[in-house]
Amino acid sequence: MAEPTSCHDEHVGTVPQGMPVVALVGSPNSGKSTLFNALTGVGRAVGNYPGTSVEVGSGRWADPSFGQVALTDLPGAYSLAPMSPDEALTAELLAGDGHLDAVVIVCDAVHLGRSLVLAAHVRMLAVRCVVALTMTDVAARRGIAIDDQVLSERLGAPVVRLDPRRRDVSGLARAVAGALVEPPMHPLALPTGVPTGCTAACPPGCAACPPTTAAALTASLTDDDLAVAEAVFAWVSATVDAATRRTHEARRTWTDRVDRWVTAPVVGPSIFLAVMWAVFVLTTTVAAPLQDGLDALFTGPITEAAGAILTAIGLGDGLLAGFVVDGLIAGVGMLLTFVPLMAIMFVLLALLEDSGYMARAAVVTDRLMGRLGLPGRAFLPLIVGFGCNVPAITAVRVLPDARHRLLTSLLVPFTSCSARLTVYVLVAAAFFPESAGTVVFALYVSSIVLVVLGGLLLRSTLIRSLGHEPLVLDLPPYQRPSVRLLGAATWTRLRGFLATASGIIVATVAVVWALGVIPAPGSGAGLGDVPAGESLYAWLARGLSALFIPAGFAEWHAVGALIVGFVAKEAVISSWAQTYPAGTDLPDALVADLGASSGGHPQAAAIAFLVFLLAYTPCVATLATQRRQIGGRWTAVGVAMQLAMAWLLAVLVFQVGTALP
Amino acid sequence: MTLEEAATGLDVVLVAGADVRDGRPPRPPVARRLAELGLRAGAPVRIQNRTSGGGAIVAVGEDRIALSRDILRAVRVEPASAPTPAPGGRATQPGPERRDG
Repeated sequence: MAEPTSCHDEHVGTVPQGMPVVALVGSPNSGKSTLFNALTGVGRAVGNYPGTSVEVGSGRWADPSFGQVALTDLPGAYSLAPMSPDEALTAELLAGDGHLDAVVIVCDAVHLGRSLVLAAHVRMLAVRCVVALTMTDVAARRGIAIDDQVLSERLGAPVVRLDPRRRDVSGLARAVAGALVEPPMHPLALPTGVPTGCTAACPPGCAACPPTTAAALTASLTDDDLAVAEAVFAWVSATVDAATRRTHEARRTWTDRVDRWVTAPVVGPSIFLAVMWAVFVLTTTVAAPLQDGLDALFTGPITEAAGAILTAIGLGDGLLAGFVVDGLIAGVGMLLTFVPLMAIMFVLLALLEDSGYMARAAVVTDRLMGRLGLPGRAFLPLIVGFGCNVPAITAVRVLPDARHRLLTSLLVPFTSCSARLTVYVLVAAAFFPESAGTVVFALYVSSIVLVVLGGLLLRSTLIRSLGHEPLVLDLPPYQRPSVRLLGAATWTRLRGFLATASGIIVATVAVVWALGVIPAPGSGAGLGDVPAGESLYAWLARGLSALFIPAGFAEWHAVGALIVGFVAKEAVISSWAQTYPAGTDLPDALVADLGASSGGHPQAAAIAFLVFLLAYTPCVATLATQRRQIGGRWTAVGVAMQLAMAWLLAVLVFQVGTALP
Repeated sequence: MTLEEAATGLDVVLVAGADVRDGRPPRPPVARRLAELGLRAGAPVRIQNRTSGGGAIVAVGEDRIALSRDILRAVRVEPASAPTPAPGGRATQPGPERRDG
C-alpha cells in the first residue's frame, strides 16, 4: 500500500521498500525546484534531511510509463566540489552506495556552460542520468539555439527539452522510465587532461575510468593541481561551442537595466530598506489584526461555547473544564494566532526569492553584514525578528549555507520582538516615570549589541569553520512569480510549521495551566482550588528565585513572570494581573516588591529584570521553529546560551547599578 | 589591469583565473567557484555596473555574477582584441557597446 502523503520532517528522505529513487540535481536558479513542484503535485514535503540542517524536498512522482518513483530534490549545487554544507550533502547523497536509481540533471539552456559543469561532474559517476533542459524558450528569445542531439551525444545521456510552466513532463517521464530499465551508465571519460584508457565497452568501475564515486570525484576535483577540474572546463567549453548556435546577438536585457538601479550605491540600499520596511510592516501591523481576531475568537466565543457544552453535560466547574478551556483551547488558540503571521511570511519569502530580488538584497548588504561576519541575506531574518522571532527563524532559509542558517537562527532570539515591548513599557513606566522612553530605546540598542556579541561568541567557539568568503553570487534574471507555485510553496511550509510546532506549544500551555491549579507541597488547599500564592507555580517560582539574588529580583512574582515568559512574552503581564490580589496597583506593587528583593535598589533590579527578559528564550513557538530549522540539539545549545547570557548580563547590570552612587 | 580597473561597459578578456597566491583572499575554493561560474582564463567579460559596497555585476555571456571588490582586485584582464584601442584609449568609449534596441 502506498504511504499516504505526509508532511512531517521525519518522513523526508524515507522511501517505501521497492520504489525506485530518483534525484533531481541542478545549479541554483536552474528551474530545478519548479520542475520538482510540477512533477510531485500535492504529495510532497520540504524539511531538513535527517541529521542535518540542510533542506531537501521529497515527494512521489507518478507516471504511466514507470508507475511511481520517490523523487528527491537535492540542494542546488554548482559542482561536486562543495563550498557549503548544502552542496556537500548533494555530493554525499550522489555518492551514497547505489541507493539512487536515476538522476535527473536539470540544465538551464540560457546558462548552459554553468549547468554543464555540474552535469559533467554527475556524468563522471556510474549512475543512470537523464538531462532535463529548462528555459529553452528564454534562450531562444536571447538568440541561443541548442542542438539537443549534439548535447546528448557529448553527455552520453538522453536530453529532454521541457517547459515546466506548460506542465508537460511526459517526455521526461519516458526518458526516466527508459533509463531505469538499463544498467548504470558508464562514466563519462573526458577527452583531455585525465589519463584514461577507457572505451565505451569498459565495465563500470574499471581502473582506467574516471572516478565513479562522488567522494573520489570530489577529492580529484578539489585537488590542488586542478588537472581534473581544468579537463572538465575544457570539455564544457567544447560542448557549449558544439551544441549552441547564436541566432542573433544578445542585447541588454531589462534585468540589466533594473539592476543598474537596484544594486547601485545609495539607490540600491534605499530600495533595500524600503523593501525591509514593507516586510516588517506586513509581518507586524498587517498581521496583528488577524492575530487579534483569532485570539478574540478563541478567548471569546470558542471558550464560551466550550464552557457551555461542558456545563450542559455536567462538567462545568471541574478540573476537566479548566483543562479543556484554559489548557487545550488556550494552547490551540495560541498556535493558530501564528498562522496568519506565518502565511504572510511564507508568501513574502517566496515572492522575494522567486522574483530574484533576494539575490540583489544580498549584494547590497554584503559589505555591512560582512563586518558582523554574516552574509548580506541574514539582514532579512534579523529585521523580521524585531517583529516576531517565529517567522524570522523560518526566514533564515534564504541563506544558502547551512552554517549561516544555524548562526542566524541562534542570533534571532536576541532581536527584541514586539511582545517584549509591552513588558518594557510597563516596567519602565513603573520604575522610571521620567525617562521610560530612554530605557526602552536603550533596550533596543542592547538587543542589537547582543546580536553582534552573540555572533562573535558563536563564531569563535561553536561555529568556527565559518570564514567570511568574498561575495561571488550568480544573479538570476528577474521574473514574475507564479501564483500557483507561490500558493503551493506557502501551503507546504505552513503545514510543516503546524505539524512541528503544534505539539510543543499546546503541551507547554497545558503544563503551565497545570502548575497553576496544583497546590504547592504542604499547602492545605485542594486541587483546582488554590490561591495563586499557594500553587505549585508560586512554589516553583520561589524556589528558582534564589538564582536571581545576585541580580536583585529574587521575588516570586517577577521570577514567575519569567517562567510564563518562557512560554510566551504576551503572558508576562497577565501573570502579574492574576498573581497579585485583585485591586492592587500593579506598578506600585512591582516597585515595592523589587525594592524589597534588591535591598533598596528597585531601579537597578528593574533594569536587570528587563535585560534578562530581553536576552533569554523568547517563547516556545520560537523553540519549536528552531527545532524544525536547526534540530533539537542546536536548539538546546541556543537555550543554554540565552539563559547564560541573560543571567550574566542581569547580574552585571545589577551589581554595577548598585555600586554606582 | 585588474577587473576593478576595467571601465564599466568595456569588453575585456580574463588573462588568468583569480590570483590566489600569498594568502590573500580569495582562497582556492573561491577561485575554483569563479571558474565554475565561467570566470576562466580567456573568458570574455564586461563590467555591467558598479554595486553598492565597491563590487560590481559582471557579465559573462548570458550570466550575471555579482563580485565583491576583493575579487575584482584579484582578477587580471586585458582589453578584448577586436576593437584595437587607438592611442588615447578610445576603447572606453561606449561606441562598440551600444546594442540597445
